[in-house]
Amino acid sequence: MKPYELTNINLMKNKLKDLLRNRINYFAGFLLLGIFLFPQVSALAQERTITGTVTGVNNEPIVGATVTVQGTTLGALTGLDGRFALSIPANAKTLMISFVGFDTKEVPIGSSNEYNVVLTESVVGLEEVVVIGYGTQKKISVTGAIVAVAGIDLIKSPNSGITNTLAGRVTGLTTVQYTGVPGGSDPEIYVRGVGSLTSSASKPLMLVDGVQREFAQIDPNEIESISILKDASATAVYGIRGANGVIIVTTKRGVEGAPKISVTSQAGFQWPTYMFDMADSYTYATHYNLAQTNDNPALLPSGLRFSPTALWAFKNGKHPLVYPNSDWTEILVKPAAFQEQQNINISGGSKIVKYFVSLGNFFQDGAFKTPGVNTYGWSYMRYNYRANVDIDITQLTKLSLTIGGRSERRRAPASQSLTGSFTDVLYSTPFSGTESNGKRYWAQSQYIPSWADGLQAIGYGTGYQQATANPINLDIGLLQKLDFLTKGLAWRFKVSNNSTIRLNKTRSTSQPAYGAYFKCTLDPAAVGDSSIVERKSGSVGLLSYSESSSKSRNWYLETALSYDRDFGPHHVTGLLLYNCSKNPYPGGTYSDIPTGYVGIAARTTYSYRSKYLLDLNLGYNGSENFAPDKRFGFFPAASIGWVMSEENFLKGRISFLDYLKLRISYGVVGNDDQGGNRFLYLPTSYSLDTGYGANPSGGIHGYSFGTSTSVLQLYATEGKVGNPDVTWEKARKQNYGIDIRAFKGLSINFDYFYELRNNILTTRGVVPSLVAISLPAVNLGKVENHGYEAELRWRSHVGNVNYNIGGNVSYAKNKILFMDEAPKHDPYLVLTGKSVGAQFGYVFDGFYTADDILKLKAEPTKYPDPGFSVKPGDIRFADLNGDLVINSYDQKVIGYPDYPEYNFAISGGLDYKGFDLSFLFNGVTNCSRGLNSGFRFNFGVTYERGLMQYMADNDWTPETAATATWPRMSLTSMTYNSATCSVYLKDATYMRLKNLEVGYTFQTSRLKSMGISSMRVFSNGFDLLTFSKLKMIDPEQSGDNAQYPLVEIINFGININF
Amino acid sequence: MKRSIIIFFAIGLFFTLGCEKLPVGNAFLSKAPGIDVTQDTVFSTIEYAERFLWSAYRTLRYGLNTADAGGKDDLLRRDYLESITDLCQSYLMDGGAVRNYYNGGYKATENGMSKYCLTQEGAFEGIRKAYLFIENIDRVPNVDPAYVKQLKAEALMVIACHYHEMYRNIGGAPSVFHAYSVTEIIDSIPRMTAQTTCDTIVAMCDRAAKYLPWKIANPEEWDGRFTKAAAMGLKARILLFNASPIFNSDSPFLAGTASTRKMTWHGKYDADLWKKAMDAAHDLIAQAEATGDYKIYHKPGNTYRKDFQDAYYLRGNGEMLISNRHVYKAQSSSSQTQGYYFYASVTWGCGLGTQELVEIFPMANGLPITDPLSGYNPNDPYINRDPRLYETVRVNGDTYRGRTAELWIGGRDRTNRTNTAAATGYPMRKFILDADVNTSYGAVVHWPYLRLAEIYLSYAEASNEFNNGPDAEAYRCVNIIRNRVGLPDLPAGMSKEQFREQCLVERACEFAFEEVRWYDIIRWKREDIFKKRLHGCDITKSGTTLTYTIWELPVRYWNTTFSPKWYLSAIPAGEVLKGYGLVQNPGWE
Repeated sequence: MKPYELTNINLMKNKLKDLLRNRINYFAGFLLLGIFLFPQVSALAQERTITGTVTGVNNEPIVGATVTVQGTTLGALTGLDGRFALSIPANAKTLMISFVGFDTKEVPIGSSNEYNVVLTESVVGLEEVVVIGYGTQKKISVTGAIVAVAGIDLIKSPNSGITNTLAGRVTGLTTVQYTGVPGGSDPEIYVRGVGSLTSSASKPLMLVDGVQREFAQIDPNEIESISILKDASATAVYGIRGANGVIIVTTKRGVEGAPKISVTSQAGFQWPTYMFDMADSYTYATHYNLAQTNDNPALLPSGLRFSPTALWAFKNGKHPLVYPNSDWTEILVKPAAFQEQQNINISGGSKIVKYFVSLGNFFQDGAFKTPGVNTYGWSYMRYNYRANVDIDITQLTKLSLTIGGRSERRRAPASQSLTGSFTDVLYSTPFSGTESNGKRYWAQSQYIPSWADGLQAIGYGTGYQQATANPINLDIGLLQKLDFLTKGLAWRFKVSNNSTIRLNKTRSTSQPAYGAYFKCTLDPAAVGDSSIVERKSGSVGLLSYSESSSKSRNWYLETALSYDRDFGPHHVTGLLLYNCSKNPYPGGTYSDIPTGYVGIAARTTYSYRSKYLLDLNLGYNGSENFAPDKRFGFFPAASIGWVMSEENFLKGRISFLDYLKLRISYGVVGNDDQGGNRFLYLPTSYSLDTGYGANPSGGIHGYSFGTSTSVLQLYATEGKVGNPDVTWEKARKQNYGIDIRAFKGLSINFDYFYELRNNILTTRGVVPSLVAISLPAVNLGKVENHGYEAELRWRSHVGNVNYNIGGNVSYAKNKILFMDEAPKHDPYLVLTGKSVGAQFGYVFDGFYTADDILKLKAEPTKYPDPGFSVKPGDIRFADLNGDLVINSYDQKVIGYPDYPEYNFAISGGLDYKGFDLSFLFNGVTNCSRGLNSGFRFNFGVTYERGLMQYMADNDWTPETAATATWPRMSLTSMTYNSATCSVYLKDATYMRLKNLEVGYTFQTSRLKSMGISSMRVFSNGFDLLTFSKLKMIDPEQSGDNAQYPLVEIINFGININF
Repeated sequence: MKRSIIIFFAIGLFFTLGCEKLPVGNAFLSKAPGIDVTQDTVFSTIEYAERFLWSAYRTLRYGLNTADAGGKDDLLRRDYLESITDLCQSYLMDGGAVRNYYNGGYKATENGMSKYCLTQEGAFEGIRKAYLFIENIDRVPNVDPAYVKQLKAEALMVIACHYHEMYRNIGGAPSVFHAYSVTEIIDSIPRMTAQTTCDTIVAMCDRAAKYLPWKIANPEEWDGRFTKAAAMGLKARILLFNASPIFNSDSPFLAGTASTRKMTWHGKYDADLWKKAMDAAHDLIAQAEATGDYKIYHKPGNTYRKDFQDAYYLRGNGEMLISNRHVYKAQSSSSQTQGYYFYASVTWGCGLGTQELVEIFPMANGLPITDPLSGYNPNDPYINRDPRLYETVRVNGDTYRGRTAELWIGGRDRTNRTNTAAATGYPMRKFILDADVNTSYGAVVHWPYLRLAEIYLSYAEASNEFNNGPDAEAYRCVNIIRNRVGLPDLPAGMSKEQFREQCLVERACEFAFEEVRWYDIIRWKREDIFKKRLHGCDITKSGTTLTYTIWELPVRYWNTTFSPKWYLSAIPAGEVLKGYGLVQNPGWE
């Protein structure tokens, strides 16, 4: 093996520290002199070389540990095998060995030249650093509510988007994953729940390396950490956009050392967590006929939709081409779909240049079978790349180059949307067609009514569409230390450019379909001949081609002065930052006017002996969404921390207590989200139509005068009325936190928060509709939000087995305090005082029995009038106001919002001699799902779509009256029975095995001889088990429409480090 | 260190020079010059101002659904108003007739798919547009003052039309007489009494008539704009409604606050109201006949059927008084393309004629089918009938797409009994024609909002009421309409009641699918028609023998549970609750 290179570190900073220790008012000339003095100082002191190994638990070598000689600036870093070598002066007395996450160790220097040092893992993590707004902070001195996830945890999850991976890993974060479409499964994400009047206006600000960017499809191997900034003190620097919390993704950068190469390859299978269960043809037909006879008992058999012949054929599986019985989910959905993921990254660096370069790819096949020729189902492929390079141009000047991007491709059947839905499967009826011998058959109306069939709906053989995109993010940063002006001062500058080009192409074609007939139908002579005759309709079309493209670009610039200095026990930092950003292609209504932000952020922190901590944060920024004199807002926040465990009355007295910190913060942050609107302050806009008028076939707004002129008259209309006073939402946030470390392995964090948000944009509710103005948005909504987050973890070891186990719970509950609601008939109809998005509807009071209906008819003044000719088996809605009439005044809040109030997780892990295991259970509660559309209406909204099996199993009949949970089959009463009601609102509480990973790391000398430092094989899974009371759909999915199903994944991989 | 400092200054210099163009602070945010159009822009030239008026025209009622933006498909959600009368049955399962009326589901609180929802029909949108136009048109420079007056009169007619819709659907209308500004404090918009509402509309029509041209000078380009004849016609229509028993009676149709406050009742019977209706109709008829500019459409050489078809279908035919237009041509296919939905909705089961509709048409000899001398043969029911029958619904054996309509079960037009496109046995023909490229697809279309024929029949009806029986002029007015399709004159000596009934029959035959029947039923408080069970017809073919089976259509809620509240629409409960003066209609409180 190559002898490893000796590295002396001349820690410039420390040198200056030495030099300036007693000369605070030093002037620049003297500084220069100091520089000339350096080499001599170092040269004079050298005398002998010592070597050694730094190891951690289990004798694992620690790579990159710093070994310095106390009282000097001499130092070295340990290499890959944990070895170091260092020249020390004769008078050196103590070695200081430190590494992030470990307690710093002091070793007396004796006569020996070989020192083997074992570091113990730090309980408190004194040196641990977290990313905060526009900077980093030592975890120990954080006073705001900030949590972070290490990139290493993100790699454990094999799913495509890292936003889903975050679920359960941190407190205060809520994710709701509505869809599992390949490459588009990003969840709705909220920090501390919903604080505005709508959940869409409560989305957090997302940043990658400090710049607003989407990050769902970044390769997790590129991520160093993700920070979630929750309270006002953490987000005040983002001012006008800080109210909903901030999520910051930080990518990996190189550290000094020999090149480290890491190669990972993994592949796995995914399948839907849940596939809905549709009724078969026989069940469908009998229930449809039942619905018809329920509606009209006098109906003659000839009036029934499904003839006895069809029923017989369905029941006995006869003539499946004429009377199909298709399970579309089975025909269309694969038992499992493939996915794979590769990554290679190289990092390392010299004193001058450090680099992290990564290349990854990811492919996720869709859950659909490839439907026919010329067609692809949904799939997603991406290549991620990243090159993060830091160059020390001089000892005081650092240039950083961050290039990251990807090239991605999404595919979908031509007739479907790229974002994918299973609605068409839900709409398909089992008897409307089938696939046999690669041919598509559809049912003929001579035999049974032909409605939507799954193959047609999904675009069987009718081509595909493909969307490619290549987002490229480029940052150039410059850091200039200005210690020569005053010590601890630095200036930095950063400019970023993000651009994407999207290219879409669609290739569509047509496929023939076959109708199967009995011979006797077609040929009157062949009486009774039930042999099958096929008739082809349509033919194979040529693949058509069409393409479209779009682009986007935006840039960001920031420049800042920062200051960081110790004055004896006092530690002071400061930041003054100016930034601005432009998006020249914003799209939307004012697509010609770029969006922009400009602002100043400032921060100063003070700590005394790391015991008393004070942070002041400030954002001052503006957005052109507001009138020129109302653009800039001032967003201050303050927080204090008290590390009680450092106090003499605790230190050493309570032996089990390692660390105790109290935190309090208060501040004001803003939210300028206007629901996609811009420039609401402008005067009432009018529009003059220029586009539609000439369209003779009927424009949207034109008017057609004359008898023989095809030209439509142009129109002019009044648009949205402006509100010159429109401004941002203001959130006042309080946070109270406590961090405890005890028993050398127990950690507890608890945060309570309270937020009061006012100035929320909404439209007035009490204005008469007769005014017919498109009402302006006014800042008058008020919402309060409060909750807590608690996390408990125990880390320890039994012999050689290291383990940890813990759990967390997050709770956030909001309440609408004011929304200018129109007066309501009954107090429970008022939404003010309820949660944002709380679900509203009738209360189920049982099903009408025949007896009930007799009573209703006999004594109409005694029982509530449903306002509808109810029949046995119809839903009886509760008459909430007792006025004996059922109408919409009998609705109230019947469930929780779509997003959960409680989030909890249990996770843990262990490792033993190269073997490791980790798991994460994640759950939510206080969350409801409303069944709607095809999940609510028997036979769908149009009465000719699919029937869910649970409807057929649970519908009311006189025989099942006692156990029925679903109203009777009916077509005419569906409007009545399908009113939003507690029958259709389901508890969406769930618990999931979100992540499970097992691995084994080989570290043999044989591998070493091959140049491999370690090799790990692993297997992991995502969403492996789901426990939920909600049986009809996946508990996270939307009940409105059948979205692309969520997938569970089992994955195998290997990781090799060179 | 030296290099450090040099680089630092070099970079500093670069940014000082290079970023010179980067604005800082508020300047960075300055909104780039936009292309905003404000009210000033719109009322700066007559071309733009006219466009604003055209957008007000667009809010006018259009009875065929176009599925366009602006809520026009909200009305009964793609169904026809005729579907809730005795003339039609709808099988459009997600339409408003099936979902909200047949089952009695309509409520003051749930009026999303109703026949008329005060806040959804574009009424106040149109009224606001028209008032904004009237209030601002004087700012436009260099316009002939006479033309400004004409334009204002047109805007006033838009308002009048909307008020007229409100009047016949809810009774006394809210008093909105200017365009509100957003800063205005609006705590009171009370409902007017029924009589005041009518008077207001009449006053608007009178005022508009003063400034509107009697007829459009160049109809090729401008037919469809309001004329004096339109204003007079609307006045006649509203006065007929005003005189009808629903409001003009000795007792309200239903007790309630709105009735007490005379919003849905005049307080007493006043025979003079019939006179006003009669006179208004007569003024128009007299002027039309004197000038010859408007007449009951007839083109030499046309068949009776063609004359009748053109009378409602053809733009600028001289019979049309008010014609509303959202599109120029219908679409060239049956699909729901680009906002012309109605061909599609018919195949989904809208507008299926009932047996009652078919039976209301007399024989070609003018005798009702109930007359033993009429020659009606129940086993061959469609021959020798009023030609308007064949133009209203498709009946078996008639010509269709150049062939014979096959409406027996198993026939080409009714492949099976449950086929929604022909579920009652009588698919819609009016407006749809043959539903092919030779007739309707791609044809120039419009909505015949008011035809001169209606004025003739209104005159006859009002005069019959006022004079306690039909006089010669009343007969003449009905006979004109009958003669156009070859029916002979009515027999002389009819009683007042007989003649009244005959007028309603004539209106049903003439205006089926033109949104006349519903208002006739409610004007006359025809509870009997609401309660009547309706029928469909199955034809079975065996060899060459056709068998006609009349069967009962599904029961409608009001067949069994009738209340006079159904005569008027409810006012959206949410609006009533806002407490600015809307009083709920009787029965919907």
